[in-house]
Amino acid sequence: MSDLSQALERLPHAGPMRFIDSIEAVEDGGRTIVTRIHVRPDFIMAEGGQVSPLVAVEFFAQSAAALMAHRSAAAKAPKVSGALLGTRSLECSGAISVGDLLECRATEVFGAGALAQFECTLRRDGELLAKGSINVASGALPPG
Amino acid sequence: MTREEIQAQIVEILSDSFELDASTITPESTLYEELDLDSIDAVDIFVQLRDITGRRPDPEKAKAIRTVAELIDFAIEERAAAERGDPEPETPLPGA
Repeated sequence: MSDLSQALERLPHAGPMRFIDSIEAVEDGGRTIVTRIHVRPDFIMAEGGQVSPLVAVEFFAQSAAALMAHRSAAAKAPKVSGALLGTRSLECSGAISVGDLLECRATEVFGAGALAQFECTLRRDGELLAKGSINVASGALPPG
Repeated sequence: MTREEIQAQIVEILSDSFELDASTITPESTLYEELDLDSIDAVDIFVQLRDITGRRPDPEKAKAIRTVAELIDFAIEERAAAERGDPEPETPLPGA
């Protein structure tokens, strides 16, 4: 199993609540992650073939979580748990539809202890659908 | 950029981001008590500080800052580090 696949398996999100299909790359010295999302017909947030652009926030959060998971796997550290604290800025400029193949890019711009901020974009075939920043908290899960 | 100019930019960040009255923000103001900011607000401040410093702030030094004056000192030090070409600090792995 590749490092990126291992990181995906460390994500606490499971079943229909895991929105990310794959990790495409970890770049920028480990500060940026690129993930791929296929919006399938049974996507839990789809309604009438459409998905609210606000769901981009969750795509951002799961991508940030995947980066944390990648780091913890690389360091052979315990699994990391986390929480989305909120967003200070979010701009949505395009609709998301069932069938879309999306690319999410999340870059950690500052991290201090358990808190971090990520700047994120969501694109479809290069077209910017959403961009924003999220604040997240994370920490190691207890063994077991 | 002079210390006064850096101070003016930091006051602008604080007043714009957190709806604080700029006239009440002094170098002696404490971030968490007098300005009533929290640790999440601090993350926002340090992200915006990159525009002044030109580099990713050192998180270990950032965590120790308690006053506006210390924030100004920090920005000056970070600008000097950027001019020297010092490598950006590593972000510690959460929980590790």
